[in-house]
Amino acid sequence: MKERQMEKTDKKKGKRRNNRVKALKGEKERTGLNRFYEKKREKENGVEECATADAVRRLKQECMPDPERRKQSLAEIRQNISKKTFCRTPFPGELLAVQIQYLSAGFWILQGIFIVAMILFVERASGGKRELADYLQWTSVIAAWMGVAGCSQLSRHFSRGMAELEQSCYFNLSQVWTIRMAFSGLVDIGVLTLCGGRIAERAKAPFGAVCVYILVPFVLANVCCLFFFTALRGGRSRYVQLAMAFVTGTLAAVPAATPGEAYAGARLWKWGAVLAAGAVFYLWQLRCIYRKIRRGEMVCWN
Amino acid sequence: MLELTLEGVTKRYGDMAAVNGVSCTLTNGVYGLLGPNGSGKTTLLRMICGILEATEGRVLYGGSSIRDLGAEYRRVLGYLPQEFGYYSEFTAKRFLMYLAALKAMGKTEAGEKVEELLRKVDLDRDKNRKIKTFSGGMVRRLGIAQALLNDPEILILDEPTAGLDPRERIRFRNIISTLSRKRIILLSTHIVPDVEYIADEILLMKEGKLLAMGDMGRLLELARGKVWECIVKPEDTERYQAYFNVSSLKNTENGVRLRIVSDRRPMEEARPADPDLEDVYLYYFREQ
Repeated sequence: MKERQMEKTDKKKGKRRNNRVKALKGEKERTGLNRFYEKKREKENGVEECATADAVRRLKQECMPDPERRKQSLAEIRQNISKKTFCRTPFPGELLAVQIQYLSAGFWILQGIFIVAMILFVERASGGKRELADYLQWTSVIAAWMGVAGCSQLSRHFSRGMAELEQSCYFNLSQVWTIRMAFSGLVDIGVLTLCGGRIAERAKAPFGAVCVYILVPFVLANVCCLFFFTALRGGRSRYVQLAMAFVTGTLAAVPAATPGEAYAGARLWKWGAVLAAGAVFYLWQLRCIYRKIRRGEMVCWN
Repeated sequence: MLELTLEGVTKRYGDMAAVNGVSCTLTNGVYGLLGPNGSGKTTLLRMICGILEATEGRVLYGGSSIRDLGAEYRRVLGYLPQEFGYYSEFTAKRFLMYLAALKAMGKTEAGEKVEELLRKVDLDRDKNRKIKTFSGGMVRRLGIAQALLNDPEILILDEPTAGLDPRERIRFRNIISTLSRKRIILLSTHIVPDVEYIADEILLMKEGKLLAMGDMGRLLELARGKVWECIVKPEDTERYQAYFNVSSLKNTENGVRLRIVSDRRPMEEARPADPDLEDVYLYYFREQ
């Protein structure tokens, strides 16, 4: 029995083994087929890819010009480009940046000194109990000097003999002048207004009135400088400008030094009128200068 | 082809006419403006540059008035004034960069051009030196460089070679010759050989008027038969100099060889000679 049972068991085992072998064989066969098909597909794809690449290459060869001709054409294009004149139109802001960049060191130093002096004076003077006239005496002198310094920066074009050359440039002298004048004028007026605010606060005076008192010497110094500058050729020299600074500074200190109430509220309209007249006269002078520059009279002074 | 036309350009100061009715047309090439002091050369150049307004007449560029063209005309203009000013505290490079900015050039383009021009005028080693340390010749070379900054179509040079030594003058001539093909170059000078070497056409100005204009051959032809050479005794030299325009004087073994510019034969033995530009200049400006 046992033997039969063993035989049966052996047969079963054999069958199982056979089945397993068969299964393995089937798997192998299937895997082989897969691989075969995969390879076939790869081959086909490869052939297709190769064919496509060949076609592209052929197309490229057909479409792409002869290297020599290509080189020649590119050279021609380059030559034509080099012949073209590319006009660049800069923004007015660029001119402002250029002018600020090329302002002389002397201008910055002088303006810096004036601003620091003004701030120090106002702050130190504010320590004690002071009247409005005390504040305005030196502030007016510095304001006048600021005006002379700004104007001397403009006359530099003439005193250095650069006016003629600058007038022949794309940005001509009038434009350069306008930019410089606007820049230095706005900076000065800004500083004076700030100081005016501080003084008004300390002296308990109306802000507008203080600004008018400070701007009068500034505008009148500019007017004097421009007048001498246009009326006299020698007005461009450094010594004349120094003399101008001395005279305008002294005159600016006079109202505060006089015993009368120069800064009395009732006289504010007179200050306002002088400021307005000075500004109008200044603008009229500028108009004359621009006309003279345009005609070349001023530029071609030897 | 570029074209600059002057139509009866006149500049009066009171009753005096510094430039009187100058009319001519300039196209691509180098033009030499010759004339004695006070003949109106600088005034004419300033009017061509648009710096000075003409009392009468007008200057046209490509058919349009330069006044109407304004900045667009100045964009194509390069100018070297007779009295070339500069900001002495600037270095050569900074000065050129400043002018490049005024000529509306971009920073990169300007930087490249400045380097190129400094090399061209032999100032590249001194580019970072302040201009106040420069010699007269170096300043003049800097002036020439600034005039070329914007690659101008119209280049106006007023006495460009004044203060340059012979080597620098030759260098300048070569620069101008290489530039002449695609622009109008007008240069005024007292140095006749400068014009002789590089100018395609010569304009002769006297008392504000344009006396003659033409190429060298034409001007030389005008002076043909008016130039004489003769040998005189040394003691007679001063007498001949007082009576005639003597363009050259040379001591030889036989006596003094004189070259005389005159309408009539100065003496029986005088032989006619081939004129050169200096003879033409003397012939036209003999009263001076």
